[in-house]
Amino acid sequence: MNIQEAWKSLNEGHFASGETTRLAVSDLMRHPSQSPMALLRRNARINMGFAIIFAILFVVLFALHPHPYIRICLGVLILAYLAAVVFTAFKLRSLPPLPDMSAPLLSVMRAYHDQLRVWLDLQEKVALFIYPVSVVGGGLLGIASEVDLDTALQKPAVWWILGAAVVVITPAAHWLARWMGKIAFGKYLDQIKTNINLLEKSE
Amino acid sequence: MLTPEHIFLQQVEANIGIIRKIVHLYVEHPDDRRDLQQEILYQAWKAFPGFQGLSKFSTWLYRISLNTVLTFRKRESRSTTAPLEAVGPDVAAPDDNPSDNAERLYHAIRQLKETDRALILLHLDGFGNDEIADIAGLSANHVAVKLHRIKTELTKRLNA
Repeated sequence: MNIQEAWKSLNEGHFASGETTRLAVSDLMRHPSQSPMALLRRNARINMGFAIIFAILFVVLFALHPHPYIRICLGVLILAYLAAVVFTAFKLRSLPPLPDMSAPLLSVMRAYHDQLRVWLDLQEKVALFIYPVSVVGGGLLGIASEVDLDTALQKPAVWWILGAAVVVITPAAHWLARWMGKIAFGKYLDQIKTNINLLEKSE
Repeated sequence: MLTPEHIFLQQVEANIGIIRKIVHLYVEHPDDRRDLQQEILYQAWKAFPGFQGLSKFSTWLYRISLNTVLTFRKRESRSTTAPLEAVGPDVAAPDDNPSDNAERLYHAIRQLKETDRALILLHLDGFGNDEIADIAGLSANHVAVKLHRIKTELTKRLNA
């Protein structure tokens, strides 16, 4: 078989067929990019929005609950959520812009792989301090809604339970964030890594 | 006077075959093809202000399309490459009919690894080793060795 002739025939037949699309830039802009990095950046902004809404909610609860322990916990929660927002915003700003898609294939794939790795690491770190703080704050609020908090906190068992929850939740949150990242982007990361290795590999 | 938008659309419409070809060689599912074509056009429009005409528009569009396809996240529930068993008999069937040969070549290329597909596609479309090296970010020697291996593999598949 003459490969060049077959290729020419493919170009004239198989690849030439298809709907004729009337292109319009306005249409292109209506559908935001589906690139994983663009999605991650969009999701980060949405998460920051939610974190700010929750922080405002905690401020309202802070005003409604005069108990000092609850106020301390809510204060820590507010600070933790705001810290997560600032941390994420700082990371978003410090990430180099994604390379122009007209750059060489190898450098674009490396940049995508490295940025995705940085992003997933960031989410694991944020999970490491947001979830344990939320557990203690939520736990105290839950106890306060059922019984008198002062009485409850005099029982050592309550402190043990809270302490144990933090000890269990902290690594669990880290593991959960890592697992979710793997589920969402593991195959994609592997796919890019494989392509980088294949392109770099000397025959 | 033509606006950048008009120039871009004219150029893309004149070279739409490049996008169509790459989309067909990399994804199987019609929805994936539509998404990928959309993403390539989006990335091309975003990068267009940086196009200074130092290379041909078609070469620039190849870079954009291949980069987009290699960093595109395929949906896992959809098949992206036809399984070997499904295309095996067609690939193996000896026939001198040009359209059958084209079909066999199409399936054989689709069975190559993603990066190999990019290199052979550029080679078959007439790019020299230096140009391919520039697009891929490799040395010309490296490309020559890779192309030799890919062509041997392709011939083996076509003659199987």
